[in-house]
Amino acid sequence: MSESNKKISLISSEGEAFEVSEAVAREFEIVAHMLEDGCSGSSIPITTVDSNILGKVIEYCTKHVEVGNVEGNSEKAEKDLEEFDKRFIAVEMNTLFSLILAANYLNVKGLLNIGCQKVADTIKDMKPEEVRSIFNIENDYTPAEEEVVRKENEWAFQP
Amino acid sequence: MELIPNLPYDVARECLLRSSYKQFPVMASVCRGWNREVSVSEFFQQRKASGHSQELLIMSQARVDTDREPGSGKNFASPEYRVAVLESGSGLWTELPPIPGRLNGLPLFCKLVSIGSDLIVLGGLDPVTWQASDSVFVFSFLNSKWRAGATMPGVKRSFFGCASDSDRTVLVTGGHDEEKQALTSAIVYDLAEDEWTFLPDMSRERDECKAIFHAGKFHVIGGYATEEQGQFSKSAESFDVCTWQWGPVREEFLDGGETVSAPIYATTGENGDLYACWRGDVMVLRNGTWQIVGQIPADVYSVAYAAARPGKLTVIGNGKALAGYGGATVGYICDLGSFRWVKLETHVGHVQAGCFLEV
Repeated sequence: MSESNKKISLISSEGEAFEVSEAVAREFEIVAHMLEDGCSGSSIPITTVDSNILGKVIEYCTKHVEVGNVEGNSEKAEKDLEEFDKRFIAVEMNTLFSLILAANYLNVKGLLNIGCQKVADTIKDMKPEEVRSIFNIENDYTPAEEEVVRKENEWAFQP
Repeated sequence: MELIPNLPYDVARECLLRSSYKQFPVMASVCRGWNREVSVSEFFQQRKASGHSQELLIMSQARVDTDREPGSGKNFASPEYRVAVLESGSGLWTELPPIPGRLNGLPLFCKLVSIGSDLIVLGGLDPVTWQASDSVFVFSFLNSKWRAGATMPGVKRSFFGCASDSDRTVLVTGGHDEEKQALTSAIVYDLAEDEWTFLPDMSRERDECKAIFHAGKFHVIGGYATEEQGQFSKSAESFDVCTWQWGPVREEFLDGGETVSAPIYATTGENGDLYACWRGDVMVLRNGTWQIVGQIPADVYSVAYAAARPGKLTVIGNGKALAGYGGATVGYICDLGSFRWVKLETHVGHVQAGCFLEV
């Protein structure tokens, strides 16, 4: 029991310390590896993630650890977690990208998954120019090429 | 190469892998990098491997003209069939774009099969002249386009049995010619080569036979000879593509009961279970015998198409016709463990045939 009560400090890029339980810290696979490699220190610097994003990632992991600990995980708990994920990831594009980058760096698979899914869902009903504009993608087709590609792909599925 | 500015390539790719198949044409138009990404088969293999592919039930379904008054003489006009797509996960129905140049819809009673991300539409009757068609149309979910395949050689046949091995080969067998003579002949289509080859003849004439690929062979079941109009045979024979031979006829492949209707077959995979929906029952083939494992809900008047996936069976049928071809379409998904049926949201319109595709 004492093991799971152990606290670990995660230090954001601004130097702010976030104290979390070891179980939550282990949700960051990168931290789990450090701990397994015998990194005994109780504070771990996360130099590439700022306080705002680190706080959010911790919030995500805390929720998932809490729900995972409930014995006999019910359908309702799963539903709640799905709802939580949905609300959690409903953020504007800059924050979404920061969360994805942090999840990728810290190796939080669940968060990376819902982040990437959110990006995919965002473009669901968009036109090519809208996709370019929201992601800041340069249109590298020449006007003639674009015309050809557009013709080839001009139909859309009808509801 | 950067697919999405500020995201590592691998992460951006993860995002693209999770997109809906319906966005592929739009994604290809965004920029060269995205176009390259979504137009290679590895993209689809990875979607499948990582569990992001979508399961689609593809059907030829009558378009219901809502302006058409029930009971008016116009109901006798043949309806226009189009390709309807049911997304298994979301339950959403969509429609594929029409085949270029086919203004009156799909050939009536055409067959649908799939190979990889390609849908193949074979034969049927011309919706205007009712002449048997030898046409082959291929819709690629990879680039979202129709193309014409090599036409079916030999006699103009209709009401043939048709199945794909999901790899590259499509079998077309039996049916009848333009003189209504039941056929023993069979041909196979190689999708990759766009080429047809004649097979040795079957032992029996098999008009309106059923075909399914299972356990490494094409099985051709039932059908009837010219003299036995509508009396379906219970026999089956199987073609082995490796040895290029038909096996012996199994006389009582189906047992018991009337023979004026043919079952609809479905398999959960090449080496999975073989199911048949027949006379209101779901049967599974175990050790060479058919066992009844469940009952199809009573409001499915006739089963048009069944798709089996590990653990579940989807049945699409036509309800009792209300008016013309606008009769209710009913669909159920069955949990093969508990045999509980859950009704699906359906689009109205008579369903003639279907196939399963994962993209």
